Amino acid sequence: MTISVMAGNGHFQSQTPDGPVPCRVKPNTTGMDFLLARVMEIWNALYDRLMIPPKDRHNLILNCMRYTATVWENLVTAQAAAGRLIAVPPPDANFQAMSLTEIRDSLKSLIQYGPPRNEQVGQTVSFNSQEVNSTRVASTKRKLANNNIVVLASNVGSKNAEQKEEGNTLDVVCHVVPAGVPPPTQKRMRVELNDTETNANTARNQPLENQDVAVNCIAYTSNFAGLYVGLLNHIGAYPAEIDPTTEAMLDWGFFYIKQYASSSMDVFVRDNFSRMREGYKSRAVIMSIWLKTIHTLSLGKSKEESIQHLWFDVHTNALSMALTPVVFCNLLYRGAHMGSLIMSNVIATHLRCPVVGIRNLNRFFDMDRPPDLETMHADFKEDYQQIQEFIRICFSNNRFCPPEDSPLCSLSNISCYISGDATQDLLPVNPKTSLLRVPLGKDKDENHDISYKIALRIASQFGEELFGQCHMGPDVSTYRLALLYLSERFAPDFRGLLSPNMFFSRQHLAALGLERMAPGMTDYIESSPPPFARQFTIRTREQAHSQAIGVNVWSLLTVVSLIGNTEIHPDVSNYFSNSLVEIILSHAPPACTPGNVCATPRFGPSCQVAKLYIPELNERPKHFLRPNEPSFVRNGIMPIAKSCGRFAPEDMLHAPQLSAISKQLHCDIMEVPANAFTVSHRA
Amino acid sequence: MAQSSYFLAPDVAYTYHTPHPPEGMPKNHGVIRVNMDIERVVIETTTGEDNDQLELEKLDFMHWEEAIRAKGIVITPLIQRAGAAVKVSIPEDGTQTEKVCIGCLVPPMQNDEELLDGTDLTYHALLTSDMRTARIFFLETLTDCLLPVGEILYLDMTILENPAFREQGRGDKLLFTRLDIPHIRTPEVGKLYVTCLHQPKGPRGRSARGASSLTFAVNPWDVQLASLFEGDPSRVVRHLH
Repeated sequence: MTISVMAGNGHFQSQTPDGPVPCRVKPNTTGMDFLLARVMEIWNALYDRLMIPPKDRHNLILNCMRYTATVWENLVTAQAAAGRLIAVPPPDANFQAMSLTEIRDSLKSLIQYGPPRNEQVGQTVSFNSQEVNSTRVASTKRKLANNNIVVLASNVGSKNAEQKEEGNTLDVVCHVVPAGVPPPTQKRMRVELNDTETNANTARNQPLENQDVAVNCIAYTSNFAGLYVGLLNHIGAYPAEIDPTTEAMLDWGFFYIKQYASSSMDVFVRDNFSRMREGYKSRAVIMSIWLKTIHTLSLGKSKEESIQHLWFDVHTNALSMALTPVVFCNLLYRGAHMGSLIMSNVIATHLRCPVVGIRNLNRFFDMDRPPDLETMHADFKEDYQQIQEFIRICFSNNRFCPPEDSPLCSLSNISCYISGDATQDLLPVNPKTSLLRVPLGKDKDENHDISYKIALRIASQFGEELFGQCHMGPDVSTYRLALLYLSERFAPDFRGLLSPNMFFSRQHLAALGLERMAPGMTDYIESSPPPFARQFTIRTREQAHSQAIGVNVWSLLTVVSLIGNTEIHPDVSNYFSNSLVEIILSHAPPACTPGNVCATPRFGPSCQVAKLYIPELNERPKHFLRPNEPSFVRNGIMPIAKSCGRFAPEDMLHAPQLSAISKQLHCDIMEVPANAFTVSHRA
Repeated sequence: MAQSSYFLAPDVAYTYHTPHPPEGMPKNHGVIRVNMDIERVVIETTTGEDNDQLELEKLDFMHWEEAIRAKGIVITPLIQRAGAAVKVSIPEDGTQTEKVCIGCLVPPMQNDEELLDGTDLTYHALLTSDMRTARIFFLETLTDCLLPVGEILYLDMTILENPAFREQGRGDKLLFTRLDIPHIRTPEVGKLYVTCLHQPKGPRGRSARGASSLTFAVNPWDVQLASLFEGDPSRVVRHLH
């Protein structure tokens, strides 16, 4: 049996009895290896939800040449994000029952097929295969049908109690055509419809309670919604529009991400940020419409009313304000350079770098003298002491590197870059295991550069974890490339979001009471960010002693704190992006995040919904902080987060659809009638 | 019909009105709060001829949106941002005539976080240098008085704090500015934030390419509406040099 999904492109992977088949198409995003690992995780989560036993999973060949795992990802995301959606069948159902077709008469007009990209419904794909044996070559021509997953929800009028019960539920129809079966025709589909109407397997034993509307949805994917809505949008039938207030919030958030968080992104993403931004905005709209469709149908209204309801909604409010943090998290998750984040955690593990709370770290960055520990909050005190102890160890173990490539004579000329433990003679303490520092001398790798030598050590010490968890390697060149990226292109700089004194090494040492230990340490005041890592040759005036890769100690502390752990796992990117979005949203007006909590999906074996807790430590402004642009004086239009008539978007964050509805109804915002709103839940 | 949800923060008073009340029901207004102590949404409706009576209605979280829809209630925009400007007509001293002046919305009490005065549903506008304020009913504020961001304002140049800007001998000139939103995290209370174009003089004279914009806080009584300016247009300077 082949299960395929309906649209998309990009990376792919198949489950086989021998394990995952590696992809043959380069993904269109960064961090391929990590992404594949994550995709596998998502698929496994989906299989778990579908209760497919492990022994059967290899039969499910995902036709990934044409389709993408993003569909599954979206599916699971939405189902996890919308609490009332039930993504698993009822316990008494089995996989066989789920694949049966169940379509009711009144739903015919809603039935849609998802034609694969560039192909028409019903078109078959032909290919030749050859079998070679000792005597002859047999050529067989096979035909594969396009596998349509047809998804529909019941929405029958409430003629009697029994039908009402049916109408209040959404039974998703998953029409799976086994490979090799001729493509479905309209005629045959009609027959199937009639057949399934009386199918006993589709009957439900017990009615569902009205208060808790269950939505069984396994295959009405957001990509399908995108395909359908995209077509309607293209012909101008039902344009999907984001209301101006939500658009302002998105504008502002994207501006902040680009301005203050793009330093941790992949360089190609950084260069194509506007394209990526539009892409993620579109995805979010599709996701929102997908959720709205299911929700609207679950309200149990008549078909006509549902469609009218849905499309007016899409026209005025295609993206909910509550989904904006999800958009930011998704973009940052994809944009952040996952390889560098994982390598940061490898280095942090090796150096035993403490994981402190990012807000406590930020507070420490702002300090210029040792605090009074007696009056400190216990949480901050603990983090402060951990940082202090870590820096002490760095001094006592001679980890600090000299500025640039100058000779290291004494502590009067050290920089804020730290490397592995060294002796007084500047040689590695453990020449064979020191991860960041290698002795100079003749060995078999003499002709290789420092990054290769260190990559070898990473492969030997962390290779198993990196390969097993992150699909990184096993070739040494993978680690070498990651190290080179770390030192040449990765330069996290959060001075716009966190303390502007983030790189003031001298001030930080003073705050730790350790300034006497490094009188030569200077503050970094350049506007361009310092690289996360640098290559050093550690030498005195007389001779060179060792080679090293040094990491900026403040950058390392910040990145690890943002991640929140030192796990070697692709999930670090998720943690990192969620923390950054928390910080970004803490610069937004409180009305953007009522209750200071936002929900975003978090992938993992259980596909949980993570909660972002927006801190109230610093008083949040009641307005969006915008850049100064001369164009504003010329034309009166704000550069980002534009006004809606006489009201600024800040004035309507609690009722974001007001301006869109007033535009739709051609009336003033203060004249919008109450019946233009419907409630978002059932009574 | 649009499917809509309000995003209400706990314990904030959101004003509402009934622009088109259901048949047989009078127009009314009031505030809606999410009260986390009792876990209810509370509607406080102002009634009586002098708006001096208060009716309370407590709704649970699952049904409050439906209930307010049935009553014809629409939650209005809420001004919370610092530096929001309004135009107000006040009587001129010693005369019967009225003049329009610009005010800045300020919290009703010094330590209040919100601009709305929940007791009488008014916004307080700071109008004059002698700290005279006016109370403006919220519906009037939102409908007639609020100035949009980007409104052209003429600023009295003599009040510019930077002496470099005053050395030009332009004491009697007005500067072309636009009403802006504060660009800083903690704006000053009672100040409007205006932005003007700054064109510093370079070695080859002034060029538009080198122009930048400057935002600064000003008192509301130091600016005037461009639409009401009746003086000599040559008095208005387009750029800050």
